[in-house]
Amino acid sequence: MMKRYSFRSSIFCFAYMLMCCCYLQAQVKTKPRKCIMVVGAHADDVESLAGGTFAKYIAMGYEGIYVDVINNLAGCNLEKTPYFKMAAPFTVSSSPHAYPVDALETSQIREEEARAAANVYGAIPVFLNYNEPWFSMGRKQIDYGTEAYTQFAPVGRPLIALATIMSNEVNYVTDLLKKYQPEIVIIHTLGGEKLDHGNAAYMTYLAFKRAINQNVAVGKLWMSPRGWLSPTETGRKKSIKPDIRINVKDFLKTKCEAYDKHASQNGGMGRAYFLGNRNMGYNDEIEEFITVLDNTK
Amino acid sequence: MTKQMMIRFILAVILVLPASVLFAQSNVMLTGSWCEFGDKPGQLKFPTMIATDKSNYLYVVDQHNHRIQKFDANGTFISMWGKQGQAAGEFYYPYGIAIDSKGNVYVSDMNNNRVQKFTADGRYLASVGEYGTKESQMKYPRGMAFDANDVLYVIDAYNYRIQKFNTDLKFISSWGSAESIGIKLYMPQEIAVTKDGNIIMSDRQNHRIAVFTTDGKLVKRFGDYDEGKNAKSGMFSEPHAITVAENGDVFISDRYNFRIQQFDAANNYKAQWFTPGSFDDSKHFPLGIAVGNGIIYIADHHAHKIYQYKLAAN
Amino acid sequence: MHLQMRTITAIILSGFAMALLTSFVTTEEREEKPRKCIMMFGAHADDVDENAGGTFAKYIAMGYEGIYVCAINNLDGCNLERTPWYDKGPNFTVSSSPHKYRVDALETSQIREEEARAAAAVYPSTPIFLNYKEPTFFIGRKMVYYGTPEYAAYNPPGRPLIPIATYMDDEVEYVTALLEKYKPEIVITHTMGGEKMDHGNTGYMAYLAFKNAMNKGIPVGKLWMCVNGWLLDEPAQKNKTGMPYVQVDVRNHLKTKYEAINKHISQNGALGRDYVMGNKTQPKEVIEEFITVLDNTKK
Repeated sequence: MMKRYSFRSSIFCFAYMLMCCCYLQAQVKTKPRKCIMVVGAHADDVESLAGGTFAKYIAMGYEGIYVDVINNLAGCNLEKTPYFKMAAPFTVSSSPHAYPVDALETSQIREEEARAAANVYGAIPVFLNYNEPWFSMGRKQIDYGTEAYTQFAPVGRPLIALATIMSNEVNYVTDLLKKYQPEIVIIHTLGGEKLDHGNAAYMTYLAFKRAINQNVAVGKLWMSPRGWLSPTETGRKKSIKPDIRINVKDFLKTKCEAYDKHASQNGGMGRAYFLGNRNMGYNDEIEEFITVLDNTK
Repeated sequence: MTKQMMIRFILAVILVLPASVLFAQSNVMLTGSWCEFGDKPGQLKFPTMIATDKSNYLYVVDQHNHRIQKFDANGTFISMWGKQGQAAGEFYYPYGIAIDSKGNVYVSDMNNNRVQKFTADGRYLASVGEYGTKESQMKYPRGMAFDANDVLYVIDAYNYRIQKFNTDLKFISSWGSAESIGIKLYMPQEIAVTKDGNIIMSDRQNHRIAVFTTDGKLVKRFGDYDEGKNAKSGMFSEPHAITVAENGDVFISDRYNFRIQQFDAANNYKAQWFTPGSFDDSKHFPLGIAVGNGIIYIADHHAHKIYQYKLAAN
Repeated sequence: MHLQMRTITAIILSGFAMALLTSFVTTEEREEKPRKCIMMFGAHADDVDENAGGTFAKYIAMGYEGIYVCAINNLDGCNLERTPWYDKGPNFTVSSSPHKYRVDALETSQIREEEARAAAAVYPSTPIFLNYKEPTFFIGRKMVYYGTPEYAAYNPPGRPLIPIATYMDDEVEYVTALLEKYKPEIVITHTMGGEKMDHGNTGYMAYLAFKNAMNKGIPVGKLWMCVNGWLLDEPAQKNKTGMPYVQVDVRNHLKTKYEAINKHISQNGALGRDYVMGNKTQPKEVIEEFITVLDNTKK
């Protein structure tokens, strides 16, 4: 009798311990690391999306992951500007002597600049290498999917929009989330703000959802409210109110320093270049986001 | 015999054996092949149906080059005509081809919803059709054939009917509804005229062949679904093209079995052979088929090639 | 003489005044209003019906002209098979039949377009096919992706891939021209940035064209967006980003909606309501919900 009782007790104890282990394991699994990941479509998008927030969290001890989704084959113009000799190695202006740079060289320049920018924050740069949807061959624009693009065969993964329908590509981005288990992930506006921006955001959204389903310890997915979600676009106030507002006043210097590293895009004009793109009255001391997914609750 | 010679002999036997076994099933021999992927004269992009004329010229619907190419019986390029467009003499994904008793060439210009008529050297003569459901209107015409009276039969795919025209492309009649023919056809692709004057059609998605009188009365059906390297003779996995030889034998391209099957005039199974290439359907798709003067031609849609086979005298 | 001068001056001045007044009236007249027209941009054949079929039917019943837009040319996704219904069934069916065959690109596109035409006729509405290329199709049973040499070699008909088209000015103009032609009071499209690649990007293209139309002074009304995809996620609902504020009661138009859905036999085997309600992203049946993304009626 005694023997049977102790056998029952041991089974009970074993089951209890198993439950505790599972619970603890579950707890360990669901706690993300102190890590912030900003997913920008192109080189310099991390800065324009959330440069201040990125700097602030890194200063608070978070690991920073600086993600550049597209391989930046297009868009680089090198030119001779009035500043010449005195200015940064690459500059942008309204100079008539602006020439599109060939695909491979553009990609190299932009990647170098992004590495330098990530270094300003003390962040780890990650290049996902999705193909830019067009590039210049000489001065001719070549679009993805054309025979000329296929012939040039630039190094890179598929078009990001296409990659969102490929399960292995979503897994590739999910693996990045698995590796760093970030507490905060920031993306562009879903479905707006240029082709690659919206689709890079959608890819991250899909990967984040997959990570949640796979019990990967990710925290929150924040989205920039630019583009169609901004009040001027929607014409309404209530539904576009960002739920996250970060004061980045003390980190604008870092943000602008990082911004300046993208000289081939902004001529090292930093804040002036950034604010030049915005509406009058834009407050760059506050960065705002919308929580799209929350895995912490 | 040295050891080396022995090995060579064994190797030769090993290599020859499968071919012997294969051709033992049929009475044909591969005698040539030509074309490769491209848009130059003599090159093809996704060829579909083919036809031969009385002078033994072969006409190929070069679908993704939106043109027709003409070869002699040995594959020498003769001429070509057409380009992508909607104007007379232009094509937009053509599909079927047929030749009348005078040697004029008719092409079903599938995505332009019309049939165009040309001389044997490609001079445009006439056209019929536009998108719609009325007489002489069409929805994506497919295979075509002429009977002994020079009546043209056109598969009007998404109107689920056959339309009949004379050689001036004037409408004669149509038939095809499930009620009128007694069966439902699933994606018929090609049509031919049997030796006894009936209409034979590939009922592709039913994996069988249907035979009708010229006015659409069902005569018989044969075949059923089977697929793979060991698929039974007389069965099909998506039969596409059909052609009828002078002696009445019927040749059918059996897509996912990568073979051609031969039936006699009474539709009894006679023989079969595999077309060149592996069982990889992305590289290999025997589609168009034509027969003339004891020679059978196969257009491989995915290999962009024409294969030529010679029929044995028996 | 002096009087005559005065008279002449008065006549000239009054002429100016009249001209000015007329120009005001003309300007006023030129400011056209949107037409009683509802336009739905679906990515693929059947997306109009599934996403807003009830609303589409309701507005058409109220006298609106219906424009049924299918953005993608549907090169992919069609399976033909032999089903238990066999000779008695519809022309194309879907089931779990083992005898299921992928259909080649050209044929798939033709089948889907025919079905969409039939569906558009149910409401009744005008079908428009924008013919943007599907990003995948099959050569044999092998999937081929846009941008690969195999895709380029096959060269299927169609305009560019829709996400790429969103950055091409002439493509945005092409869609804008459609808005200019019909001047719709209501335009509905997919959730931007969600729900599959083609859906999100079709939504984005419609958005860009709508904005372009507004900037050009074309009398378009409102752009509504469906609430599927990421807008259904809990945080988006909670912070009201995904809170729909256009709700259309479609209970009296479900019959039309399902009749139209049934026309897409190659996709749903004519299973209509069961097919749609089996799709869990469909939150409610009798209410269709949207978010107003752009509103050109309040100036």
